[in-house]
Amino acid sequence: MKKFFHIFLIFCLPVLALSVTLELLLRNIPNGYELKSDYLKTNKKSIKTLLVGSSHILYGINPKFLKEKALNYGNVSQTIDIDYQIINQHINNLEALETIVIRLSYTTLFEQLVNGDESWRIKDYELYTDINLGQSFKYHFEILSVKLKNNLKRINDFYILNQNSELVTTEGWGTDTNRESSQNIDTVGKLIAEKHTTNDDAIYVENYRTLDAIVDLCNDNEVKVILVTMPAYKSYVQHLNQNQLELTTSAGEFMENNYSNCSYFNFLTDNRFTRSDFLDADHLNSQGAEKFSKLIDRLINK
Amino acid sequence: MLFNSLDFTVFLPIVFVLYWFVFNKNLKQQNSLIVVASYFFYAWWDWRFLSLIFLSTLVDYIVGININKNENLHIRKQFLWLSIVVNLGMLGVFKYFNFFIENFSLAFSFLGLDLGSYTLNIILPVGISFYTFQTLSYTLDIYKRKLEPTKEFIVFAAFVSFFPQLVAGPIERAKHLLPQFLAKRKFEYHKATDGLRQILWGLFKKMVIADNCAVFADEFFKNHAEYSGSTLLIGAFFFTIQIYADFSGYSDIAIGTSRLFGFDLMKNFAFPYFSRNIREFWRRWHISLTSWFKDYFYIPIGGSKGSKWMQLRNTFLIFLVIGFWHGAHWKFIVYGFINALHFVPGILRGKSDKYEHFVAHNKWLPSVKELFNMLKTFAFLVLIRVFFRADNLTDALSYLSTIFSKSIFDIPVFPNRFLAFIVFVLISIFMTVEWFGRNNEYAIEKILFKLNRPGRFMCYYMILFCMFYFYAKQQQFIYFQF
Repeated sequence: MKKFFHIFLIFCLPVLALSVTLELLLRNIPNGYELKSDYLKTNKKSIKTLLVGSSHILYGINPKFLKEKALNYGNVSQTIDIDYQIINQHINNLEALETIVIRLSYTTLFEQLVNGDESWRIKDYELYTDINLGQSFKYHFEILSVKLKNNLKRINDFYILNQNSELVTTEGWGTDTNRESSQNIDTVGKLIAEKHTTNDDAIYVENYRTLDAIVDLCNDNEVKVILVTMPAYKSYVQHLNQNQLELTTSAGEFMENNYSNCSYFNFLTDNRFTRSDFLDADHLNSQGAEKFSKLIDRLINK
Repeated sequence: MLFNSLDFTVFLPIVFVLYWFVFNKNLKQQNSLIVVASYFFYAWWDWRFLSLIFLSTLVDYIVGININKNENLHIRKQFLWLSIVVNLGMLGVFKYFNFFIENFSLAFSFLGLDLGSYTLNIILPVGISFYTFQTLSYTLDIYKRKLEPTKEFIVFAAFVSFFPQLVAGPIERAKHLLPQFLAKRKFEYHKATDGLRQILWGLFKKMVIADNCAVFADEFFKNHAEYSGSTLLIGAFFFTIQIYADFSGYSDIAIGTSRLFGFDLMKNFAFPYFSRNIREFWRRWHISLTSWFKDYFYIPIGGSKGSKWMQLRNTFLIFLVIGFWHGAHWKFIVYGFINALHFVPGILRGKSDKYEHFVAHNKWLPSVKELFNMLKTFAFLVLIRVFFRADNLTDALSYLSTIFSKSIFDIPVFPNRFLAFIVFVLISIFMTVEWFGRNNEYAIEKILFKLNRPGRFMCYYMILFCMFYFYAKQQQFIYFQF
């Protein structure tokens, strides 16, 4: 038995040492989650607007163009249940908070990060923010959450090539320069729309309740809620399932009608946004983000 | 709990340490620990179905004792039937109920009678097809006076629920496994290291080969209408490799884990894709199941004895039952039927085409004839696996008709060409290792013994690296659904 443990330990030591080294290297790579979490803590007395949602918000609203101090707490694949966790955790600490902008996209009521292909992103909340999603043990480690191949690429990009694709501005706006170009925007729209179309009634009901809980929570704390359906390119819009879209927009309208603190704005087919404003079929580029941020600013200050 | 999960990585060392360091002084305590750990292992998936395992255990424990103590054949038979009814009844309700209702309803609809639809929303309890067969073999052996029943309930409960093989086998015989629970276990260094090596190889098969093949097989079978015949043929090839790597990988992990606890489980796979005909394939594929059916079904109904007609009948019966064991779908019955068809010429000719030795016996490479036979058998398996993987019979036929269309000459299309290339390379390496290790219990059992310890460690590190580097999306083991 002694021999077995002795040899097993010798075998495991290099693996453990390598694992710890990888974990430390990965955790030292600056990332948007940590920056946003820190910004929120250090500016909790002055933040007046909080923006939450997925990559649509992350890349679509640049707080630089908002008059009041704001933080973009949008992250790639961030779903409404996580928006709720963020708001619930911080609403009492943000003393100056007046408005929360939430994306109500085509997918908002039909997806949850924990159930999707991007569930590995849960580790970013568990590791770099004070939001506890109560998920599996593995999400408390970089090396257990993400494929080794991707982790090695991140280490190579950051430490060898001095690149970091996960950067955001101080106020949380996504500045990822490695995102796909809009070359195939006409053809890719259909594919993305199909990918975003689901018919999971159970998730819809759950997310609807979560959205209601968010608006209700904000109402209790006298915080204004602006629900926005972000602009998207026509190749994407044309292929959306009308039923799913209808359920989304009617949820926004319901919240607006039932809560005095809530307004809903649908920019999905807004013709002020043209092809040059889009990075891909459903994301704005920096020019589009500037345009949209100014629009949102007017709504906040209305 | 999946073998390829973090949960199991934590669970296994804890049970191992408790087993050898805390409960090692007393056999009863060790067996009790196995029962508790096994129930915990199963409850991780769904605790509600523990009641079925417990019911099966309790019934067969009581039945076993009563069959043994009664000399009256009538009473013995009654107890045997009780065991059969309870075990097959559970299977019938949870696995086959909807199938029979739907098909009765359909049959009556042809006669103009509408019986309506009374199907139930039933979850198939993981492992039910495995542990019910294991407990059945116990009572059948006692009935045939081939085995003495155990009076120790904990021992029997450990035999039924032993976690390494609880959910997907190998389906053990009481004669082989039960005495191991009654004997004092001693930690053996070589057995334990061999177990770890087999676990490592099983994980490699599952995580690197099976899960990466699944990426393509899933896509091609799901959207088969969008792909050409050549692409679908490759999809069927990927699935053929996937199911072998997946299930034999599971068996390797199960056997390896058992060895860590001092147990020897039966071999479940013997390099079946190097078989020279279908008969040989079935002697090497899912051995614990095929031998179960052979001993408790095929031989009792006459086996290969009797007239040609009887042999044909028995062959078709066993393959239809094996097909149906896999699931309540017509596609599995057709799968069994096609396999049985393959035996017809041999039975009619009166020739069994049995091979005494494994392919390329005492040689490095096969002869041209052997190679041709292996490829022919493998090609046949690739095609009939379509019935196994497709969602239903209609999809399977549609899939096969595309393969046999003109589009078989099109250039195959892959969603991710680079990954497809990598997977082909990995499969080639995997099959090469399997070929050179084909005379072992598992491929890498002795293959690395020529190296010194640092050399062997380097090989293990490489396997570990591959497991994490080529790790695809975690998939459930295919045989969990059976």
